[in-house]
Amino acid sequence: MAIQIRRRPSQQWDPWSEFRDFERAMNRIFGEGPRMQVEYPAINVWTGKDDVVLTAELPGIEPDDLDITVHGTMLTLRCSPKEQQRGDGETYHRRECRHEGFARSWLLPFEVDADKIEAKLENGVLRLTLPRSEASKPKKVEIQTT
Amino acid sequence: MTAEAALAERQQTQQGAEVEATRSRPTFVPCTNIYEREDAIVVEADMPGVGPDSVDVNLDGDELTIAGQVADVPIEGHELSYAEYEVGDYRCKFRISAAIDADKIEAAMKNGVLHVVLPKSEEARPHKIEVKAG
Repeated sequence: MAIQIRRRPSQQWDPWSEFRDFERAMNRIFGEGPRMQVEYPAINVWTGKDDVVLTAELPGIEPDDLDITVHGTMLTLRCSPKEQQRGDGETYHRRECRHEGFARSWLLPFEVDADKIEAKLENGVLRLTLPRSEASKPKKVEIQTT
Repeated sequence: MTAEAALAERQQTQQGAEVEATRSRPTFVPCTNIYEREDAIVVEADMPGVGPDSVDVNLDGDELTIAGQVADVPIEGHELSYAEYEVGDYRCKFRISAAIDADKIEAAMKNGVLHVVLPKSEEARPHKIEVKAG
C-alpha cells in the first residue's frame, strides 16, 4: 500500500497577524486589559505592490494636532488636540463625540521609506501612504544554468 | 462614553420604517453632540469623509434631518487587507424642542464635523424678570 505523504494544510500566512499581535501586547503592557473592542481611531489598511495605505477616521482633528512617527517597522499615530473652549451656560442634551487625544502604534510587516511617507487629512479622514523601502522589497533570485 | 466606545457602537440606521437608500452602502447614525445655549441649540455631528458639498441639513417643523454622503474614493491598485471600520453614508433625525428661527440656521462643515447652529426664536429665549425688593 502506498503511503501518501500529504503536507499538513498550513495556516494561511497573514502578514498582518503580527500587526494585530503587537497591538494586543501593547494593550496588555499598558493595562488596557483584554478587550475585543475596536481601538480609537479605527483604521483600514490597503495593500499595494510597493506600499500600504492606512486610512483612519479622525473627525474634528486638525493636521497640527497629529504626530506621525515611524521607527523601524513601528508606526505611531499620536494626537493631542487643543482644549476646546466651551462657553458658560451651555447645557448638553447629548454628548457622543469627544475629540480627545490618543496614541496608537502598529508593527508594519516591512520597513518603510520614512522620507517618502505621505499623509493627507481630508474631511476628517487621514490617508497615510507608506512606501516599502527598497531594501525590504522582495528580490528575484536568478537561477544560473551551467 | 469614550470615543472608542462610541465608535465601536456606531449604529447602523434602522432601515425598514425609513425610506431605503438607492445605494447599497450602509448608512450610519453619526455620533452627535447637542448642546443648548441661551440663544441657540447647537448640533455637532461626526461625519468623517463627508465634504461640505455633500451634506444636507433640513428643518421641517420641529424635525431636523442631517444627511451626509461619503465620497468613497477607491485606492487604485490596492486591496483592503485589514479593516476596522466600514465606509458609509450618514443620516439622523432629531426633534428640536425649542422654537427655532429657521431663517437664521447656520451650518458649517469642517474636518468631517458638521456644526449646525439653530438660533432660538425671540419668544423662545429666556426673559429675565427683575424681582423688586418690596
